[in-house]
Amino acid sequence: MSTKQASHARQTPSRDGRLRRLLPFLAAFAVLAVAGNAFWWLRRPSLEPLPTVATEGMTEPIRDLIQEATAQVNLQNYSASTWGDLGAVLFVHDMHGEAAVCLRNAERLDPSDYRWPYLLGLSLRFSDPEQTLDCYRRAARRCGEKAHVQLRLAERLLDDGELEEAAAQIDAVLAYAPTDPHGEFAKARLLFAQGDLTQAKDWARRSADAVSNLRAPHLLVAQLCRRTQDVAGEENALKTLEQIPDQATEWEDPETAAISRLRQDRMARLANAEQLAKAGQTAALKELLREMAAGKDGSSAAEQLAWIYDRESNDREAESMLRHQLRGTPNDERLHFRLGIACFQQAKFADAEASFRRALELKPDYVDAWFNLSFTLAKLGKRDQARDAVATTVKLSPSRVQARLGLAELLLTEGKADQALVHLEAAARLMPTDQRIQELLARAKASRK
Amino acid sequence: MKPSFNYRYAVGIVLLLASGGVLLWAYGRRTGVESTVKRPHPAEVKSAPFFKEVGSISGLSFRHWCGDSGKYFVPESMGSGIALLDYDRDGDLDIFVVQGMPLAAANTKPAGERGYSSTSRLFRQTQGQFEDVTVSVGLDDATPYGMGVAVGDVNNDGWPDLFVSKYGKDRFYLNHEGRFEDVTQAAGIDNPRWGTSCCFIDYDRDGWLDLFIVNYYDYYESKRLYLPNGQEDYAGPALFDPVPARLYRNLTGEGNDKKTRFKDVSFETGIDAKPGPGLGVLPSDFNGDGWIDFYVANDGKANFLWLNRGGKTFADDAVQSGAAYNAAGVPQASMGVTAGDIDGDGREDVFMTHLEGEYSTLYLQVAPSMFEDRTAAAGLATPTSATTGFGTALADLDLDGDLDLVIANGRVRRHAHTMPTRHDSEDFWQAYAERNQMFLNAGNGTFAELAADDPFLSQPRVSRGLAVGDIDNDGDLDLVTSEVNGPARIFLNSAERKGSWLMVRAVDPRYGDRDAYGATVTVAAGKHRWSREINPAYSYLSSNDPRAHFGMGTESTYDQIEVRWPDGKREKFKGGSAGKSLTLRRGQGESP
Repeated sequence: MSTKQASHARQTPSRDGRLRRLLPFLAAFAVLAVAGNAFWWLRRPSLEPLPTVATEGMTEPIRDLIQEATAQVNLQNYSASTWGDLGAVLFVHDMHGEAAVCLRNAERLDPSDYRWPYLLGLSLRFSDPEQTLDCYRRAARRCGEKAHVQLRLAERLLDDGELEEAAAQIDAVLAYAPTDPHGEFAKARLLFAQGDLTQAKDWARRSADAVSNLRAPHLLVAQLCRRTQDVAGEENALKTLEQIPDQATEWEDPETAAISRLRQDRMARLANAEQLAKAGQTAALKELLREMAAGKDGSSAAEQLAWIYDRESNDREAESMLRHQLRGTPNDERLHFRLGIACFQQAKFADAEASFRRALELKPDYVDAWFNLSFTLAKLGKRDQARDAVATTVKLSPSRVQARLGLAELLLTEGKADQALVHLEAAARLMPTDQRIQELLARAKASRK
Repeated sequence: MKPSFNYRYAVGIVLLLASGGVLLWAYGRRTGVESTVKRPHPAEVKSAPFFKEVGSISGLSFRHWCGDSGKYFVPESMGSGIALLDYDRDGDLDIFVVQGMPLAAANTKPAGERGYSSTSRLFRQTQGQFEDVTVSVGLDDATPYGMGVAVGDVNNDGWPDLFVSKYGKDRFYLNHEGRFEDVTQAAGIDNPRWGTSCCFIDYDRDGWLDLFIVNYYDYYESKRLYLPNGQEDYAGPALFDPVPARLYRNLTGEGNDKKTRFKDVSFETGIDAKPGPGLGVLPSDFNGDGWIDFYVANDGKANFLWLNRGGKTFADDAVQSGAAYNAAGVPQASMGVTAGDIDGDGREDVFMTHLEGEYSTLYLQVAPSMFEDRTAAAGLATPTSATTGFGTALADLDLDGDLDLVIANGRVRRHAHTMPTRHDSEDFWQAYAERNQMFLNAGNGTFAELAADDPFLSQPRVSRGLAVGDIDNDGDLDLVTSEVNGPARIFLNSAERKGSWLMVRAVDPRYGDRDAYGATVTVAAGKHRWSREINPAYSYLSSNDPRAHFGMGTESTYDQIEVRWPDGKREKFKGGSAGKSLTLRRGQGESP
């Protein structure tokens, strides 16, 4: 080799040499990779077995949903999200025990995701209140700035009398979401529990001002106003509460809202039916109800379908559908009642009477059936029976103004003004400014003279 | 030439291995689940058994039958009530147990030989032995579907009368010196709805006991509950519309003939204005104005606190007074209700039982008719959250001077993971069984759950009614429970006594010496003052011993007893030794 060649050789190592120098690194990498996998394999969390869910008896949409989610778990057994998805499906369909298994597995596989302990806590709240609290705690530690998670924990801590810990959660939420109405409400509860009624009232008011469609803050305002002798405040709060439906009790929860869209059971389908009705999609609504009427517990769907036909004045269709449905469920008092209405609308009064009476045999305190029977009997000229039927309506439901008026009118035509007055005065108590009541009252008083 | 060792490569490899090791360690840390924080268990007290069961030995032989329709007919799951009353005035408590479905009334007959009682039964006690006298006294009633019972002397003849509420036609019986006559129709009591808990009380202070009946909801048998898993179970109140309670005013005193009759005054008094799915009722003067109010426990909706306005009308004050909802502003499934002064401040506090997943709530009365949910502070939130409670009572069971708590539990939905069996099979109701609970008061209004190998506590059952009274007249309080498709059971108190006792009956000779329902009896002994109301109507569907029982702790004498009579008049009675039963008659005391 020449000097030049030797020098070149020293300056530019050969390919073989480069490979030889790379080899240790490659070997190290290979060792690392094998060791890493072995380590992961040995350290992977042990999972609870897939819960057995008996699907016979379930409706098809629910069964399909569960089977699909289960298949995903079988395909990707070590995926937190497949376990979590299955857990969510089971949770929304009230299979809480099975859901808990899946959610625990999801948490084992991905302990950093707050959703799994959060949903796990919700699924355990009926059966294991202590574990529920632990779950909420874990979720709150991991969720970052998710107010609904922290506040669910806070309210549970308040229920348990753990005021210090509750305060920490509430203050944390208010630090990043100072006008969160749920946070304000929780602060009000905390201050109330600590005995500071004035501050509690202020915070409760802040919350109530921000949510006009939820009862809890307004209830608390009413109570605190009573305690602090704030009469005007109490009255205002009570007035507001009259406008808020009884069932408006749940704070917004994005987690449960998201998974509730998975729900496929009858209640969810009826809720869909209501949505279709509100959107005016009558054809789709009727089809959905027809499908549901053919299934288990089809009565509620059939009843709703009859109501739609009634609104469309399609009483022949209603009658036909109801008679068909009653062949399968002959003792369904609601369907007999609806059939009575359909027959009445077609002036088939004898059939209507028979249907209402059948409904009353099945349910003797069926107020609406008594009321409608009274109209039917009046049409058939059976005045005494009509009067007795509406009198029974009033006995069952003394605050039913229309029944009082109907009875009063019948009594007046029979010359029983004194008896009519009793009912008219009762009706006037309930609706003091109603014109018709005032007119009938005047008529009754005049006929007494 | 020997190849030289290249330290740079060696260092590089070591660094690579080291960083890999660090990564593995960090990754490995994340694959576990954080250990859960273990909270200390709620307070528990270990004890010797408190009760001994004597039902079968004593002759009390009653077995409830729900009818086993196979159609999840909701009244089946509600159970029925028990009354403790001295119907024959011989000085000891007799027991009346309501039957759900009388055997003769059912379309299907019970399977097997399970000894269901044919109808509601009355058992007369004679020195600890019970004899079925139902037929001989005229209480044989084959109409379904029995629910609750109220006891009271409505015609002031000194003999306690009986009202039985039903899903169906209620029954009202006048007691003619130990024989009963069904006067339901004649008396004008015709509650057309599903009656549950009920009580007799003189709401208008005219000296005649009126009748308050709580109604549940407008039930449609065709509305069934199908769970998403395809199974069926008993439907709950969310599916049905609530209905109002009924108040019947006693008009017996207004006619010359003194014929027993009542008038439905629900509408004119305002009781009809607010429907609620009611299961429990508690009459008491909550705002201290001398007029009896009604607290109604509603299932899944706001409870009602009907404040009595001078005996004429009622207005619901529960929301503002803090007794409608729990502390979070959420309605709870209220079933049984009881009251007592838990913290010794002279005001009646209220306790209600609820569904699993909801704690049973303790409302402390912090000012007249102002309540606060103090369940957690009392140590009752966690231990009551996983059970479904029905009958309940606050009573001093160990005579240490403070009120303890008992709850009769039993589910309304099957346990998770259990599949339904045939309705008429022996084990159908096992899926609904739970253990009863008992909590001892630590003397400061906090409670610890009793852990004992006790017949009242140890076996899971589907308990519903619970009545409390001194059945064996030995100075401590005993229990009687009813179960769905199960026997009525007597639990005699055999606990170690931690003090002395006093049993006080307060009667009004103007009204046939009947029990002065609505009176408040206060015993003063040393620095202690204990108050109890003369009122048998609490718990669930049941009527209790009308006498006022006092555990007096270490006090062996009492200084005086003060009675505030239902019309507000007060009288003092002289002191004496503890350990006895007294009857205090209006007019025989002194003005305070």
